[in-house]
Amino acid sequence: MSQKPGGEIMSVNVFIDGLTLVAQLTGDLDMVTGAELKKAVDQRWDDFEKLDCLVLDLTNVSFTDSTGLGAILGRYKKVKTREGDMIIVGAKGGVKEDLEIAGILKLCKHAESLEDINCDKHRF
Amino acid sequence: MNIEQCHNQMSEKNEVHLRFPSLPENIAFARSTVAAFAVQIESFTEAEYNEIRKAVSEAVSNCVQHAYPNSVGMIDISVFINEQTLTIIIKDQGVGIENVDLAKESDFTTKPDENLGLGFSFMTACMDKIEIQSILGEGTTVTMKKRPEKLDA
Repeated sequence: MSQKPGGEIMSVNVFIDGLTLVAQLTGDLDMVTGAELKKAVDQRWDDFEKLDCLVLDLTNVSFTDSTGLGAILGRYKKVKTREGDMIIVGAKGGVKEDLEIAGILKLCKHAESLEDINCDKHRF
Repeated sequence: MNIEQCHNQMSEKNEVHLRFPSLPENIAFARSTVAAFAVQIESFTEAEYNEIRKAVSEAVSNCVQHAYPNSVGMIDISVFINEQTLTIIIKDQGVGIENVDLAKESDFTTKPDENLGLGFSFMTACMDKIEIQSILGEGTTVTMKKRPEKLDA
């Protein structure tokens, strides 16, 4: 994690919990961080074929633009190619509104916090 | 100039000009810088500053992705403050937009795999006024205006 000028902290922290891949994002989600998200998630998703759920934790994301939303939608498509599920966690305010406008909250579930999630219980 | 004169002058007219290459890492720089300048219009709310950041982010992302698709070109941003109104002009010398009316439509995108086609919709939603001038092969100029809502309430 690095502190960027202007006070923005941008990072993607990825870990695996059982068959779930969790990506925690911090900072602004735009073209640059969207590409970081893609890289971090896709590599692990491809490496571990048994993974069947992707959790995107947006609790610490305060800004998105259309390219950032495109990166989220791209991960949804990626997960769906293997019949997996995607869950979004902790989106608030403008970020949640953007996800609604982009139609992403119609495609996948949203949970308030990471603690509320059990991928096995969120089957569609 | 005394402090009072200085303060009076500060809020009336001001401008800033930025010129930078169309590198993705400059998108955050552009939106942060423009929003930091816009703080001089004190009546903007936090939500309105965020709308300014988003509009700039969309416009500059368009330059990076679409105006200069396979190369790096220069982006010019001019920001003006005049009578509590913010005017942002974002200019590129890229490929231009073939059909501006079509590009402004929600969901329209030339790259459906990666993009949502929401860029211009977001810009329109975030700003009071947006104008796009584009000439194929010469470039695109986006002019956006915003005034704090509470001044006109």
